[in-house]
Amino acid sequence: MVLKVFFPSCCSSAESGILIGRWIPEQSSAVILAVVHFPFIPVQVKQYLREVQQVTKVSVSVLGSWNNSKQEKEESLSEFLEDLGTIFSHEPWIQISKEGDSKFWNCSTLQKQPDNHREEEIILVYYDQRKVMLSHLHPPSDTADLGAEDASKLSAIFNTVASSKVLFMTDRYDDGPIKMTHWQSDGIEASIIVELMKQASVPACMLLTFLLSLVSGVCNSRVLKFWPLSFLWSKLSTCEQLGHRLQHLQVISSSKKAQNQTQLMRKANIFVSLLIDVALGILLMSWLYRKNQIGHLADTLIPVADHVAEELQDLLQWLMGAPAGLKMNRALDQVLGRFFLYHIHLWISYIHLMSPFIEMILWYVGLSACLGLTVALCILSDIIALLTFHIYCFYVYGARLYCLKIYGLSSLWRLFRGKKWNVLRQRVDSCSYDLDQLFIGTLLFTILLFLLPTTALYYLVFTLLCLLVVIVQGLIHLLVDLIDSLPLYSIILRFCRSYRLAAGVKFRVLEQQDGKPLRLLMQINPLSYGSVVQTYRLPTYSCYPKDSWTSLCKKLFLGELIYPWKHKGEKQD
Amino acid sequence: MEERRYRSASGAPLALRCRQHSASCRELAVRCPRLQLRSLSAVTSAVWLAAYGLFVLCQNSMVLSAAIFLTLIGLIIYLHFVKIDQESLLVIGSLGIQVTSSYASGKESTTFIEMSQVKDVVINEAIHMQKVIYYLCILLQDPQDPQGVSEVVPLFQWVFVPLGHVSPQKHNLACYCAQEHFCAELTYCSLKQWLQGKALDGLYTVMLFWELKSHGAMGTAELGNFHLFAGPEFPTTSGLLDRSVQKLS
Repeated sequence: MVLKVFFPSCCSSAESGILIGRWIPEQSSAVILAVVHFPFIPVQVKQYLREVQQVTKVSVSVLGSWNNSKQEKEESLSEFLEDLGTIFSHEPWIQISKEGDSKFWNCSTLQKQPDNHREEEIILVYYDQRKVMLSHLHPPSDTADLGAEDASKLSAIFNTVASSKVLFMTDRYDDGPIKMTHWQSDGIEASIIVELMKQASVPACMLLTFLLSLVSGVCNSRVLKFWPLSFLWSKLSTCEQLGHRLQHLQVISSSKKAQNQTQLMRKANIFVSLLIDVALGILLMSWLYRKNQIGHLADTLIPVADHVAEELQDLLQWLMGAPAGLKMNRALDQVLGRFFLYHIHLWISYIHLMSPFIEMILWYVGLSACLGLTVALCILSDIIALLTFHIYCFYVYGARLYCLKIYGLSSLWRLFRGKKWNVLRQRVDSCSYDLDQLFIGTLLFTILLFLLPTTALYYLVFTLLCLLVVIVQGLIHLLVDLIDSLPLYSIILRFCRSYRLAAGVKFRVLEQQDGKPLRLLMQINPLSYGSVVQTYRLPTYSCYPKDSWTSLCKKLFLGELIYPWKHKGEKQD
Repeated sequence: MEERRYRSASGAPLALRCRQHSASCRELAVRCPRLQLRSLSAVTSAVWLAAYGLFVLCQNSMVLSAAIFLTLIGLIIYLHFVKIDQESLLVIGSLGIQVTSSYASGKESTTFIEMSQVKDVVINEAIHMQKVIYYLCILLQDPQDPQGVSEVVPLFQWVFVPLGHVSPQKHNLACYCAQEHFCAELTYCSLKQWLQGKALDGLYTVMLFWELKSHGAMGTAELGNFHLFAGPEFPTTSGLLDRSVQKLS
């Protein structure tokens, strides 16, 4: 099998020494992690490697020798390095040597067993140690597969480098017995801001947890759980959104450290999403409260509600006449029309009663926009729902009436044909009716049939109006969902530090020379934006309409009430 | 480094370049014809003439600026997302196979498939409108089922025939490909029949296949006995039943 040597590009200019890393026998590949320089005591090196192995659970060992001769080839050094192969017994012993500034290195192996002396081809793969250490492969594989045969090679290499963090903690300024070269040997990378934030986050998290426990205690108190109030809370989308955000805050402020990459990214995404949300909300608030926008809004609200009511009244008058040239049943028409007109009259009086308090209510409600743009949008959606409540009521009346009519018609149609619905067997059975039953049944059927167009028209008109309102609310909820679930931190990470999210690797063939091993450069292939969003999407509480178009149409035809935007956790009707 | 000239399934001239970097590493690159100045100026003049005609009708100068804007955006999108310059295949023995497509705007999209994931490299045939075309594809191993195939990755997809990634999770391969406007039937064939066939398309695919199979991709140098797979989920048409259908084993 071809021998593959993964060499970190940061060690290309290191002094001569021995190579330490991990040997993966199933794939015949050697992952070199660092170069240990002279002078060293072999016993100390072995002990250090044993300690590292204990901590990282990665079988680190001495793999070979590295000879970087600035001048001509030093014969004595190369012999010395060969002798080292006997001290650190490793099979095969890899010898890499570089002359001067030449790009093309010599790479050979020393095999103890002479029987497999077939000239093995060696591939030298350069990799950027820092990037490989910091990146995460997608889809993530379990760390339990570290030694498994069918694990992918790449994940084994990435895991090796990532788990050997403790090996990279010593730099050249430390006074240890062992001098190494790796990506951090020029000085450990750290950031003051990150350290400060880590220190500050502990008390901040504790404070946040305390506040959250207070808030959730208040929310869960029995006072707010009485029947009318609990029904109200479940219907208002603002409460759902607030609950959702509360959950997010609890996730962030939990004192448990994130176990793995997915959890860490999730926490970071929630944090950035909350931050952006609150920032946009404060921006909205500053716009609303400047130049008395709230007053303008309140002033236009009542005329708009009046206008809507007037339009509805015109519509009803039109329906009571001869709408679109259709001839309605005069009596039923007048009854329904007057009923709905009275309803509108009640609604208008109610609005006018509330009008002096509207501005104050809006002013205080607008303050809650500081909790986030999503909360403000949910409040807007709720206000729309409250203002168009009468349309929803009309739709419910119309639907129930129509539904009753349809059921009556279908049942009497069965009677017309001499059949009956068997509730026990859940099927249609034939049945012999008496003459008076048939007579009354047929009469009722005829009456219902001829009254159908009127009811159907009212039902159609109000369903369309209700659907219009539902569409507007749906769009607002879509926007809220988008802000809730978009993983902004992951997208920014993919944009700025694309090597952190890796879909795979790509190889580039470097300049070759005959007789020298094949040189390849391994680079990280970043994840595409679509996959980033798909992998790290935050779960939301609302689910999109489960009904397909056909079932929706069927429900509309039969007059069943539709609830297109059902929330997770609500009982289905 | 050798270079050969062929014609693609749609008649456009292609250049295939083979390069051997070492005993176990080989690179095969197919270069497409570049964007012609003729076609570019034809499309641009057509769009601008239409815009000028509209302007003469409605006397609104926004139409002209919109046409210029549209042409620019369309050209950028075409160069960046549609027009392929070169497709290359890098085979590194016992590491894997790397497929790169480079677009006219310089964008490169790379996929690396590890050798442990590759089950086999086969040639499939597809019926496109009135003719049969052959294409090279890699069968990926299903991690759960050692006999199964999880994905079929067609190679040089943009250069030869536009195909999407074909995944056997769809119930009926024929139906899925019919969405892509042609129907792919997978049948069993022997290399001899194809070598005897005079179709130029088949020939160059066979040559590519030969390079892959015998120079380090799979480690085997035998030519015969490569088989295409068919199963209960991939029905074959009655017209091709004279060739035997064999399940991939």
